Amino acid sequence: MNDLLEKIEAAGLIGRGGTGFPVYKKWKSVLAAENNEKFVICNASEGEPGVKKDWELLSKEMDQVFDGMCLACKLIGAKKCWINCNYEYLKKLKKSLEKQVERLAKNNIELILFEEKKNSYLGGESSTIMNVIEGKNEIPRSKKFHATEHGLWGKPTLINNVETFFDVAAVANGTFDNTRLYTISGAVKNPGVFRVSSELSVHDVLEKTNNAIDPKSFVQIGGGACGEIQRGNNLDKPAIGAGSIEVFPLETKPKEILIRCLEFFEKSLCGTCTPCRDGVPQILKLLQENEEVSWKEILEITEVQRISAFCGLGRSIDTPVRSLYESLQK
Amino acid sequence: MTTTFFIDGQKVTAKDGESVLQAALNAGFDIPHVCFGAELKSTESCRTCLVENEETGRITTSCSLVPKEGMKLSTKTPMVEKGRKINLELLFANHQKKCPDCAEGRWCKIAEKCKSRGLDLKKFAPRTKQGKIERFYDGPCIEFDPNMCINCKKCIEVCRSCSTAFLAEKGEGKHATMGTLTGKVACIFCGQCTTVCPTGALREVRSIKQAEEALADPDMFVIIQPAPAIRAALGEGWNQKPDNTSTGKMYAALRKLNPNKIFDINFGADITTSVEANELVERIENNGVLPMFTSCCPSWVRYVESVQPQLIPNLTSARSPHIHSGVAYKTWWAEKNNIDPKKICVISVVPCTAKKYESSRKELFINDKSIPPVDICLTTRELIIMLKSRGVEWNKLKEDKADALAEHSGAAAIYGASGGVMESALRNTYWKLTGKNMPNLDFKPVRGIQGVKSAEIKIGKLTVRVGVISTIRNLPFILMQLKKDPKAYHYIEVMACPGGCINGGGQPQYEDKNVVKERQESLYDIDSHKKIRTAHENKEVQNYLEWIEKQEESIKESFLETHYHETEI
Repeated sequence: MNDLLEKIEAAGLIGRGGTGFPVYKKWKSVLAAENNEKFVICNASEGEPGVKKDWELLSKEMDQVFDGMCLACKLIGAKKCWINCNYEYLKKLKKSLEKQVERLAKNNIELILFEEKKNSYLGGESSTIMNVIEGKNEIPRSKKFHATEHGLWGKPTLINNVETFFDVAAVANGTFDNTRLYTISGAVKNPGVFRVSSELSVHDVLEKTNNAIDPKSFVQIGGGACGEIQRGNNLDKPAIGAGSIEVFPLETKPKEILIRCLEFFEKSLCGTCTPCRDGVPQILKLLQENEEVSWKEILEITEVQRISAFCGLGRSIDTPVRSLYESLQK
Repeated sequence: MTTTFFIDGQKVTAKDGESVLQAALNAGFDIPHVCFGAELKSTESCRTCLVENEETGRITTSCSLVPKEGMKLSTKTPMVEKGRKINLELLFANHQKKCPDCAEGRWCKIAEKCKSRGLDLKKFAPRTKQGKIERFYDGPCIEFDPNMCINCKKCIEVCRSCSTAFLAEKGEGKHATMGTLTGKVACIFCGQCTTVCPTGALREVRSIKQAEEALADPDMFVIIQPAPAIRAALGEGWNQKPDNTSTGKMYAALRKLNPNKIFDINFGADITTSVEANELVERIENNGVLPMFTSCCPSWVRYVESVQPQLIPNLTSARSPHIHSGVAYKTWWAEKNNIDPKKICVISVVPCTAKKYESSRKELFINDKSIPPVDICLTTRELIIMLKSRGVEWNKLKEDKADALAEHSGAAAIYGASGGVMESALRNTYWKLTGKNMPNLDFKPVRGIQGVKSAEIKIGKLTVRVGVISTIRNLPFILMQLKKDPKAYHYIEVMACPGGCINGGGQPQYEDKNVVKERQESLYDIDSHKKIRTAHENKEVQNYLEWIEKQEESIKESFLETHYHETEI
C-alpha cells in the first residue's frame, strides 16, 4: 500500500481544496499517527463563489471520487468516512450517493452522507467541518492540534477535497495525466468547468478554452473570494488553489472589486477573532466613507489579518486586497 | 516535567501543560492578553498575545502555543508589535466611546493599559450597535451591554466551568456576541462572568447612585456593613495584597464615605452561626430532615429553588448573615437607640452579585413585609469605585475601628472562605452538645480551595459527617453520594463561587491564580488572632438573641428564619 504513497509523491499531487498542500505529506502523517481508530472526510462543501469543479466531478465521475476515498480508508486503516456535502449537491445526487454507501459497505467501510445545513464559505474550512460533524457550532477550531493527529472526536483524520480523491484514484489506476479542473466564470465568452494541464498559465488556460480576455481586465484566480487578483496582462503563472478563474467586466473599478470582496467576507466570517470580526467591517467603513481607496490603512489591517487571524479564511483576506493593490502599481 | 525555551533571549521554564503565555506571564513578561484568564481555557479569539518564532518567522498566539525545548521566541519584532497594536485598537474601538458613561471612569484598567501601550483608541470607528443593555431576568444583579462585548467568550467558559452554563454564544459572523439561554437553565446570579469580562460588558447592576443619595440624605441614618470577604480583597483595588492591617484600613476607607455607623456583617455571621447550629442540633436530635444544607449563599438557594426544588426541606431556615444583622439594626438596636427603623438605610458591602437579589426578596422583609433588612448592596468593585472617586489611597489609610456593634468572633471572620460557615457552625454545635469548646478550634479538613471536601467529627457520642462544596458544578458529586446513601452526611455547606465568597462574583478581577488562596489565608489569619473564636461567646449577639426570645413567636420567626419556594425560570 505504501506503494500508493510513493506514486502520489512522484506524481506531485497537491490538494485541490485551496491551500495546495502536498497530498502525500498529509496522508503520511495520518498513516503515522498512532491510534486504533482513524477517519476520512471528503470535503464537498464547495462554498467559494465561482467554483463548480466538485459538482462537475460528483455529477459525472462519482465512482472515481469514491475509489479515491476507498484507497484512503484502506491505506490509513479507517473503517468510517464522511462526505461533507453541499446540500444542493446532495439533494440532486442522493440516489447515486446512496449507491456509493452500498459500494463502500462491500469494502467494509461505512460511508456517512453528511448534509450541510446551509452552504457557506466557512462551512468548507476543514476544522469547521469537523466541528459541524461533531454537532458543534459552525466555527473553526484552534490550530493547536492538527487534524492528522487530533481530528474528528480527537482521532487522526484525513480531510481532502473531492478533486484530490479523484486525482489519487487516477494516480492509482495510472490515468493521471497532470491535468486539473478550472472553473472559468464572469465576463468571458465560454464560461464553464474545463480539464486542462495544471502546468498551463492562466493566460493559456483562458486562450485554450476560448476565453481570451482584454489585457486590462481584472481576473481573480485561485480560491473564489480569497484568490489573488491580477490584470489580464499578468497571467503567466498557473492557477493555484481551487482553480477558479473569474474575469471581471472591463469597466469594473478596483474599489468595486474590493467592496464586493469585503462584503463577501463580512457575510462569511464566523465572528471568533478580532482581526477578522472587527477588521473586515472597519475596512468596509473605510471604503464606504472615502471616495479614494485608503490603501495604506486597509493594507495595514489585512496584513494583521494575515499574520494573526484564527483560521485560514481570515488569513487569506490579505491575498486579493494586496494583489489588487500591487497590480495597480505596475 | 518542565520545558525550557527562550523569549526575547531570556530563559523561560514552563511546567507540564502550561502554554507559552502562561509560562511567560509567570516569568514576569508583559504580554497583553484579553481572552485568557487565570483558571480558564483560552478561547484564542483576541489575537493579542502574539509571539514570533525567531527561527521560522511564524507568528502565533502564545496562549495556544505549546512550548518546545529550546524554542526561541520574540515579542518584539515589528510584525508582532504591529499585530498586537492593531488588534488591541480594533478590540477597544468601542470602549473609548463608552468611557464617559462608564462607572469605572478614569480608574478603568483597560484605559490604563491602552494608554501605557500608546494605543490610539480613536483610530477605528466604533463598532455597529448591537442592541440594548439587558438585565438578567430583569433582576437587580447582572447586566450585559452587547455594545461593549468583544466576543472573547470568557464569560461563557466560566459559566460552563463553574455555574449553570446559562451563557451561550448568540448571533453569527460580525454579530456574534454573548447570549443568554432563557428557559432551559437558570442564571443563579453568581456573577462569576463579571469577574472575567475584560471590558465591563458584563457587570453588576450598579447601586452606586442609590448609595451616594442615601449617604447625602441628612434624614437618613446610614449604616454600612462590610462582609467577611471584603477585607481580604479591598486593597486589590490599589494593587495591595491582604495583610494584618487590612481590616483596619477597610474601616478607615468606609469612614471616608461618612456613614452614621460602621458595623460589620461578621456580627450577622455570628447570629447565623448560632441560629443555624441550633437548627442542626434540633434536626439531629428530633429526626428532622437531614442532611441540612447551608443557605447563606443566595445563588445556591436560587439554584435549589429553580433546579433542585426537592432539596428545599434540606435548606436551613436560618437567614444569611447580612440579613440577620440588618434585622438586628432595624429592630433591637433601633429600639435601644430610639431611631425610626424607616429612617435607617443599611448598606451591605458584599463580595457577591447575588446578594442584590437576596436583599430584594420580599419574604425577608420585616414589620409586615414593609421594611427591607438591607436597603442597598454594593459589591467590592463598586466600593472601590466610590472610594477612588473620593481620592482614597489605600497605602495612606490609617487603621481605624468600626462602631461598637461590629464586634465579632473569629468564627464569623472565616465565613468568607469555603468551609468557613461549616467550621463556625461545628464550633457552636460542639459547644451546644457537650457544653465545652472544641479542644482544637481549627477544623482543617474543611479548609482549602478544593471544590469538594468531606470530613467527620466526633462530638460526644455522635459522629457528625459533613461535606463542603464550592462551585455549583461540583454539586453532582455529593448528590450522587446522597442517592446511594441518604445518610451519608448530616450537614453540607454549598457556595456557588470557587473557593467561597472570597472569590465571589463581586470581588475585584485578578490574574494571578494565587490570589484566591491569599484571600482565604488572610481570613484564617484574622480568626487565629481573635480573642473570641466562637459565635456563642459574642455577647452582643447573645443579648440580641435573648431579646428576640422575649418577642412573640411569629415575630421571632420573622426575624430569624426564612422560607423557600419552587421558582419557575
